[in-house]
Amino acid sequence: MSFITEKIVYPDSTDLTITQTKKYNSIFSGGRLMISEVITGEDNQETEVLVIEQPWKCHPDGSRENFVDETDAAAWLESVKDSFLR
Amino acid sequence: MAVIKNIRNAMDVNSLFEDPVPGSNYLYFQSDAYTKDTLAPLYDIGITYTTNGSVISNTFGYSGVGQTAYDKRMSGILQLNGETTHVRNNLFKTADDYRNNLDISPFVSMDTTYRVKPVQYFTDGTNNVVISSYNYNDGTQVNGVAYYGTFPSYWTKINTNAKDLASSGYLSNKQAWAVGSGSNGSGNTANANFAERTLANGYGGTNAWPVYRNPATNNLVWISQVYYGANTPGALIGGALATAFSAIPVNQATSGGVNQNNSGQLVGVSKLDFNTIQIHHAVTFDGVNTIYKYQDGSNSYTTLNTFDVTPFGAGGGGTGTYNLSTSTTLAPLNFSTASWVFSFTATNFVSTFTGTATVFGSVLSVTGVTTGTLATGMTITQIAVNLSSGTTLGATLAQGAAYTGTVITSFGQGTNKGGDRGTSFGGKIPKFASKTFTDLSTASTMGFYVPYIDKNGGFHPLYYRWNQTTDNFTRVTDITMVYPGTTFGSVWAYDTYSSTSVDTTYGMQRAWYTETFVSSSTRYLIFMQLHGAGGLFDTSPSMRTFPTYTIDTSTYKTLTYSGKIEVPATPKNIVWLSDDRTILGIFCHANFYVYTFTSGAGWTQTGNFPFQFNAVGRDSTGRIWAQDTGLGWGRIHLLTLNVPISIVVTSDAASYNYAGTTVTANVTVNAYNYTGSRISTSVKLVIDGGAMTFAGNNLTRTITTSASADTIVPVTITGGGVANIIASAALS
Repeated sequence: MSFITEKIVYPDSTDLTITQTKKYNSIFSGGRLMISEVITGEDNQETEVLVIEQPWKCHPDGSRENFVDETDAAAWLESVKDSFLR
Repeated sequence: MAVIKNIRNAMDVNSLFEDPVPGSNYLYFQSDAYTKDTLAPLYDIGITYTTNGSVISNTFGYSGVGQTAYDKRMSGILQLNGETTHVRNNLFKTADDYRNNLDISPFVSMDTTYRVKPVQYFTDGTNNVVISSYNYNDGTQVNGVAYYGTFPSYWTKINTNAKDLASSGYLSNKQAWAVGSGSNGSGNTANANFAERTLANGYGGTNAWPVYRNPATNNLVWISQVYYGANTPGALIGGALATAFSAIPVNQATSGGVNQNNSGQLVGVSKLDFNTIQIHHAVTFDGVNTIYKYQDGSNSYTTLNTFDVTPFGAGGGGTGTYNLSTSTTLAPLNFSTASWVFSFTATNFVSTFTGTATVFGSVLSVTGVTTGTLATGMTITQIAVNLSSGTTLGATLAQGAAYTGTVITSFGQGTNKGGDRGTSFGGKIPKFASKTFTDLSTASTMGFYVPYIDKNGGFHPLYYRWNQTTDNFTRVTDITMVYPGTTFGSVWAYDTYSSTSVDTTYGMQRAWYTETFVSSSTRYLIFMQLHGAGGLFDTSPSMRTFPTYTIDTSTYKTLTYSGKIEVPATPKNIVWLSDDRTILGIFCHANFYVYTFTSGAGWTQTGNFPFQFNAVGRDSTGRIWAQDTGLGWGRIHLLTLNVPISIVVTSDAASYNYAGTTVTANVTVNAYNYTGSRISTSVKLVIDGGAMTFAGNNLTRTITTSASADTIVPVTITGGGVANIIASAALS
């Protein structure tokens, strides 16, 4: 099972009218979230590049918490995608 | 100090290059070989950089210092197998300019096992590689072509030996200023950019150094930070050289792995899996840190911990006085449940207050659900009782400000007021943590301090613990600082001359840096405020002061002021001149100062070199090299331990009573080197005045001082009046 997360980024910090949508495909396996960036080439072919191997949720106070299941992992990633995904 | 060589031709090779291969006794001034130990010139031996003999625009280094115009070839002058710092001197006293951006070599690695060195030797036991790296830093462009002027340049030599660089030569130059294109680089690695923001964006810009060979992957991991236009600085999560021990190594960096407006450091290497750990410090908010592990084998990363809330004020079970009149938003209150009972009561509130107090974890949150103000006579009382001692601490909140949306910050047992200082006290600024050290209070734990100024302007470095059995990081904020006066401001002032450092080309023009060191079994912490412009703080002594504190290593939470360095001029950057960090070199615009720390005397200035050094560093033997502009393209200086920095002449009496008969007396002569150690050296003494002579009625005498004891020189008082003894050392 996998799920897609999308995030809007601003590639030029001096011009926030320019936006770009980054796409991530995540697989939850063995309690670990494997997050790959989906990159679309000039030929419109999509390739996936592994970016993050995340075994726990990170909370803002510095603490960690294990994922309960894929639903929990997906909800957490969606909630933190703007700060967590680069 | 001795001038070893004048650079007569500015070339794209280093002024000085040290062969790092074990057993090699070669040192190269530009391309000419000398013996490393005796500095003897070697006839017809030199390094051959390229097959066609040309080094023009090949970026092997830089042996000019850019006397007039700014030169982006920063850090290519002294290529030593030891810690080296390069400094630009193009501007003076001009803030907010990219040409002020700092070389972060002194701070970017927090692990003393993996120091940043311009040239390094790596081996996997079978193969080896020498890597010499430096950085181009243009810093002006803000668009996609930025990489044309900002990129790392390095060369490699595979499977070399102690004589290879001086004989077979032909280095493999690796550089790229066009991501994904080899057309602009002379080497065979098109993409040498370890801090590319993303390949998709097609630009980058970086300072990068190789520091660590991962034994599990055989990759060489680099530390990197972006110096890219308006995104200076940006911190890289991870970058590495894969197949590093081959003729064509492959550069890799995590996709989108740069945190803009963050300064980054290597924390160390995980004992669990041998991967590297990085910490990023948000320029925009003090105390906001993210800690990553870079899996170079899969070129991916794991976020170990995020600290994305502003630090709480000190807590630890105590309470204190709360000031609502200056607060604006509601936030948690520190609370410890280990040995304290905490109670919260609110009295005399108007009926509109329906707030709640809840305990969540170790934090007590006080939340008002309706808007209102605390009128005169209204109080919020908090009582904490220590279960073991019975001590009761209480506090009453002041009235007069809105309580909904109001920060209630505990003063607690520490002195940290917590909070985000916003743009107060110096604006947004890059920060660098101390090197890691063994935490004596907790097993299997390393500690380090991160610079933090609380919302009241107090310096309260945040203490982080790294549990090496889990790679989990925790943070301590209830720090107690014992200042020399009532506030931190009695010894230190923040920079008021610079604009904030966010989204600017000059974002690395200044930095706050904490560092620790041990002297006589006591750990100390020093806090530095550096500014690449030079001159700005010259008339503001507190801004150029480095306060120093002793650390209570039973908890690491109490730091007591012990002294300071009041740098004579604006500190531009520093270089550590000893591995234990008790000898500190400080670059100022016109001088280079050396300070030595002893537990008895604290920091003492033991050297003042009146030169505008562009680079100072140590070679693998511990000798200290420097280069200043001089009259041509630069002069290479050697600062050695046996060169006297100060000569002290002391008479055995403050005055002598001459009553017509000659009086015999003694003067004591000692010479000291830059470490403050007494040395043996030749000293010429000259008596100025007609009332005193040396033996034989001589007015001059040359002696050799002792390294172990005072050197006594007899003198004869032959009349009344004042006589001076002028001491000097002959330098070669």
